[in-house]
Amino acid sequence: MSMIANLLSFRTSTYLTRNIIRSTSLLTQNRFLSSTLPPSNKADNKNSTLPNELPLSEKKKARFNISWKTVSVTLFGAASLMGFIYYLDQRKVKSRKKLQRAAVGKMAIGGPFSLITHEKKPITDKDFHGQWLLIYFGFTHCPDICPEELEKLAEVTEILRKQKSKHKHSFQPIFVSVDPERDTPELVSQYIKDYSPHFIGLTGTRDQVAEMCKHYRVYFSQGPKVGDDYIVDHAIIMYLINPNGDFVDYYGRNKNAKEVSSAIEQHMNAFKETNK
Amino acid sequence: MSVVDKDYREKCWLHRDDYWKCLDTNKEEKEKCLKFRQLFETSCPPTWVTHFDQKREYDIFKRQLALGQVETDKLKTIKQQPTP
Repeated sequence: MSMIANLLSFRTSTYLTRNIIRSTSLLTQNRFLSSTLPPSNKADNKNSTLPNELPLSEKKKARFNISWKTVSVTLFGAASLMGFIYYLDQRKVKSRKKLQRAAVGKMAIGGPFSLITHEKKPITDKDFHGQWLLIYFGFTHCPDICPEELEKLAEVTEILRKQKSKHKHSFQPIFVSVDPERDTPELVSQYIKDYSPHFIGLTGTRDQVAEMCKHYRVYFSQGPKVGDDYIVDHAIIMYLINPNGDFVDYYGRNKNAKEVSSAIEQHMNAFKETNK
Repeated sequence: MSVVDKDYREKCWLHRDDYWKCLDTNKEEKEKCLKFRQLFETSCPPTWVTHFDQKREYDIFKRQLALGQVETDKLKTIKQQPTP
């Protein structure tokens, strides 16, 4: 759109300058003719040689001077007009982008958290700033869905790590336990090693986990106990968080690893464009 | 409780699949698959066994619903209504 607008403005400005030059030169010619050569002297003109010499040089000079002035003035005018149009256009694009970002930022998903890593280090959301995060919520005693989703997460990680050099911000897959009673850091550490060496596993106290799940709108509920064993029912969603710590996108079970990784790559490219 | 590792998980899934295959070939007659059932139960945690049993029931129901072999109460009321 902006290209077309610029082109149009350029065309109209050249058209304008051409017309202005033509009309001004015509005007000067007429003025000159009318002042130096009265129409009644037409007959005398043919015979007299002296008056013709002076007007010709003066005519040239006059035309030359005025046309250069007009050309420079019109060129300057056209340039400033184009510059102004370009400025307006850029402002519009900028405000549109800002609006788009604001719309995404308004989504009330994500927020601060404070948990313990599988290496027993306390960690908060701020420690992950500057990285792309793909967060999956699950538990180590999960019968079938979590393993499937974690395999997917590992596959996405492999795909994105191959294109690592393209992006400034690294990609970090994260597993968050929704079963803090049983999932100790040691257990989480053993569990995630089955899938990928790049995973970071997070767990914590019940309150800490519940707090994070509340921010991320993740439902989880402990099922009926059989002896000491139970299954935790929970939302199956992967969340994508950008390097600023904002929620960007989510992926459910219906998306495979290729679809998820290409969607993430698009977000990475868009982020690079807007944060140059 | 120790962690459920990959080997354990895959063994459990394998015996679950064997048991389900037996049920498929024997038209859901559980008495004919007792051997597979026992293997399935010993290689998976009890909570997983109930989870997988429910899952199979649900999957069969879903398949039948898609094929039009079951009629839920809601479907019946829809069918009874005269089409406009």
